[in-house]
Amino acid sequence: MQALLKIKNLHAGYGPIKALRGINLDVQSGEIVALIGSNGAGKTTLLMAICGIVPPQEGSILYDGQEFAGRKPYHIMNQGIAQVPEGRRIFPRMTVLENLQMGASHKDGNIQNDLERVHAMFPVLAERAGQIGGTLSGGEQQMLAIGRALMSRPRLLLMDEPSLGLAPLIVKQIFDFVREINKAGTTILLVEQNAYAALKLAHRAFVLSTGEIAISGEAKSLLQNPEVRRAYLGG
Amino acid sequence: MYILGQQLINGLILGSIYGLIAIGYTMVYGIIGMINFAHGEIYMISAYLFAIFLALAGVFGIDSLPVALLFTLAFTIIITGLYGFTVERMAYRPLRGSTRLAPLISAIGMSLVLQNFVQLAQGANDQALPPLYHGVLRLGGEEDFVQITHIQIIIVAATVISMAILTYVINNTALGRACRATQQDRTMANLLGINTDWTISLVFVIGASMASVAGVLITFNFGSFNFFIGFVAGIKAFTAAVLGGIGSLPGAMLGGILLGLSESLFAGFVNTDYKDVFAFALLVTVLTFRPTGLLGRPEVEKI
Repeated sequence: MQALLKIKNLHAGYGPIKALRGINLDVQSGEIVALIGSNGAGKTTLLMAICGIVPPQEGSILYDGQEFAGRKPYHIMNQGIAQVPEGRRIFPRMTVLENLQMGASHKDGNIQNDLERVHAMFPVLAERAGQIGGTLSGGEQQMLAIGRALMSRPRLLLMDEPSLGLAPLIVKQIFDFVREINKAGTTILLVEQNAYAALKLAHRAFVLSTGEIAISGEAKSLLQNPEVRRAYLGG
Repeated sequence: MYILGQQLINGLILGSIYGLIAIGYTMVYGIIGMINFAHGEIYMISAYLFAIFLALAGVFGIDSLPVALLFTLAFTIIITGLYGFTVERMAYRPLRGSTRLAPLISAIGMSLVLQNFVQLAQGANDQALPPLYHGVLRLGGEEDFVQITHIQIIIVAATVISMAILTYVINNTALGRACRATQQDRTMANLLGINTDWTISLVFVIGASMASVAGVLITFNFGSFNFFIGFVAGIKAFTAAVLGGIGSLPGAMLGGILLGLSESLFAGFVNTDYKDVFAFALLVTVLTFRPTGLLGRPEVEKI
């Protein structure tokens, strides 16, 4: 079976700083794959490299058989990939509705169905359609960021720290949404610092350490892995 | 009393022109955080293009003045839009991602290039158009009256129409949303599949078009121009943009009108020679109390 996303020997970074040093990673259709690792391990850089924001210096990013390395973001992001970025990045001076419309901006024609689907999942976004994005609470902003990404009906959803800075109850809710989105057929690559929750949720996982894949495997087996337990699960 | 009325009208006309040019400064600043010092030259070029296309309209046998004007305006907007696009493409885009000063220096260079290009191509002399239209509206008696030319009415109407179209496009269309999204968070706009390079080009084209409306209107009104008019108009419009709060569209228009009014009132009641001093003193005063301008937003630290 062909992987939906296959990354081979990917190097990327910012000027002289190499954040990724030969990453190999694959995501199969229908999976939730978790990417865990400490601060500065290169998790966000990897997602940004997939999206073409940080240009790869070496290696290959194959999505559905297409080479993405060296392509511009507007090309990549119109091929069924969406990202829920770290820090949510809601457009702060646009309304909730406009933020959602931005999510579908590369699609022609009728977005009404997508809007209804997202509103059904997050009713609060329908209630607050006219509110300015920057005035939402953290949890609502996270829902808006996820809703915005879903507006394009992505096949592959990249999520960067969706639980960051949210209250525990909201975090649980967000993870439930992630499971629900996956059940509805979207493949997910999830970056998380909350390693325990991520491993519970995911099918497979990769552990990133200083720009390289240190460990990978079934999420369940990683939960039992002594090295992973010591470094990321607090013993 | 009549002097006051007359100067208010003159100030409104001048302010409309400043405001139209200021749109280009404020939108470009909003989206890429640079001051496009070559923007005033775009306005200057549109004055020349107006004269050229008006002559062409005559050659093609367009006799009716309104038709000729619309024809001229349309072509002038298209060509100045192309200038705006080309300037961004050649002088600013290659410098994106470098230091903040680099595009500013490039902009000053571009301004000199355009000025000298026009000077070489069209000559250094003042150019003049024959008066095109004389219609006048007089309010008041035989001795004391306020005089409004029909051209001035057209200027105000054209400014209002241009601003209304621009406001609609920015607030209600997908293109406008893309512009605002790129302004608020360019990386995120990229992540949503927006071609932000095109969006930035579009902003330059819009700014140039608004400046060309101003150039056409003012040339229609005064009939004389030279290769250097872009400098003073550019500085004034930039002042208007800062006064209103750079980055804000209504701010640019408000700043333009305020600047035009204060200049012409000062010229009418105090002293003509010092009207620029007064205009810049007003700017300094406003910025002292409101550093972000009248309608500007304070910079908020991103969390």
